[in-house]
Amino acid sequence: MPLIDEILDLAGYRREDLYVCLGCKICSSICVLNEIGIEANPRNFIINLIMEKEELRRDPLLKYCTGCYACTFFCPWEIKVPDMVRAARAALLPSHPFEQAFSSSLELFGRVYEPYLLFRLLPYFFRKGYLRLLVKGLPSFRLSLPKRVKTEGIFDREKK
Amino acid sequence: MRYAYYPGCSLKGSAKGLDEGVKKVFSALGDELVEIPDWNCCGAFEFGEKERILALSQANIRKGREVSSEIIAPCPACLKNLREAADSSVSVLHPLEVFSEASFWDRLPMKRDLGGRPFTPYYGCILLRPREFALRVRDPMEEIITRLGGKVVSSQVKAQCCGGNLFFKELEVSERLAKKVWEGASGDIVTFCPLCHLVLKTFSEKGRRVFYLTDLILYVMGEREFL
Repeated sequence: MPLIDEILDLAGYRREDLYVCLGCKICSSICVLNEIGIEANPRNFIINLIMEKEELRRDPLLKYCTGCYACTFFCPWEIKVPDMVRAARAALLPSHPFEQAFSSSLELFGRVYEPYLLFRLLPYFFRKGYLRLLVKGLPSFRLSLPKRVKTEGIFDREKK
Repeated sequence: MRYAYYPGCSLKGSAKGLDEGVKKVFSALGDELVEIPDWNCCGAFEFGEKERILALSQANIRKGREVSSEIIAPCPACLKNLREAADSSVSVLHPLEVFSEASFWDRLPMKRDLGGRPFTPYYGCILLRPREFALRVRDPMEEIITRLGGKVVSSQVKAQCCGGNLFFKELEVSERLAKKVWEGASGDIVTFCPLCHLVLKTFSEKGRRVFYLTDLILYVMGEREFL
């Protein structure tokens, strides 16, 4: 399956949803990443995706898109670029330690249980200097016992 | 009014203050919030696969419908995911939409006001975008802050991204975005999002604070001594 089909399939989009892009670049002028010196261009992302260009793998949005939907808000067709960026991440990038811990918490408890996340990510947090920040930023830390919720089998696919 | 309550994972952990705030305000209004039994995580923005995100929220909608046809979801990420998965049998509401009803002000017990103190209202991204899942009322936080006796300042930063989604992945980018929000704001920031709260508090300057909107309401109700 070509890359674009895989990504569109994950995002739940069809090719036609992207063909409507007018190329107006409103998305590129509005993207918040440009304000902090990261050259982000959602329009190029869409074009590289449609054309199946190798540049897609190096697109700064893959790493830095915050998913704020400002591009969608101002797009004449309201194309949801962040949805496609997330799908492209899943298809192209190895999963991040945070995503792994997140998924694993969902598998175990059906919810995100923060003490478990902290435990799983301790080496990562230590290496990246998060611990000091979390002491300042977390308003409270609830050490309740985790609850295993009935999930009707929706997490089973995670175990495949 | 009896609502099904979907707190979401953050409100059960680090955003405990928002959880308690929302519950207290609703109870003061005479409304009942019944937590959806066995609700599961909405998946936030951590999965690239749309189908999986939808499946998680569809399960929550099924469980919520048993309790009430009106589901309250305070966390912006949960709200978006639930709205995306909801069908016509339920409506998913944000507390700000309930607080914008005319009867809110008749029912809210007010013991004091905010004394003209300046606050920057800050919605962040997901409460305002994408349009189809966004808040269905206009400028609710501005209205509430004003009617509680506070002064709304710097409302131009209200929709600017704080980089919250990158906080655990690209710390440095998230820091730069959060600091830009602080630069554009004046005085303390008022938000309704657990992630914005975490990131803005982490990168706040000395002496400047982040509040949940419910903190302000609780103060005015006399349920909270200091602000």
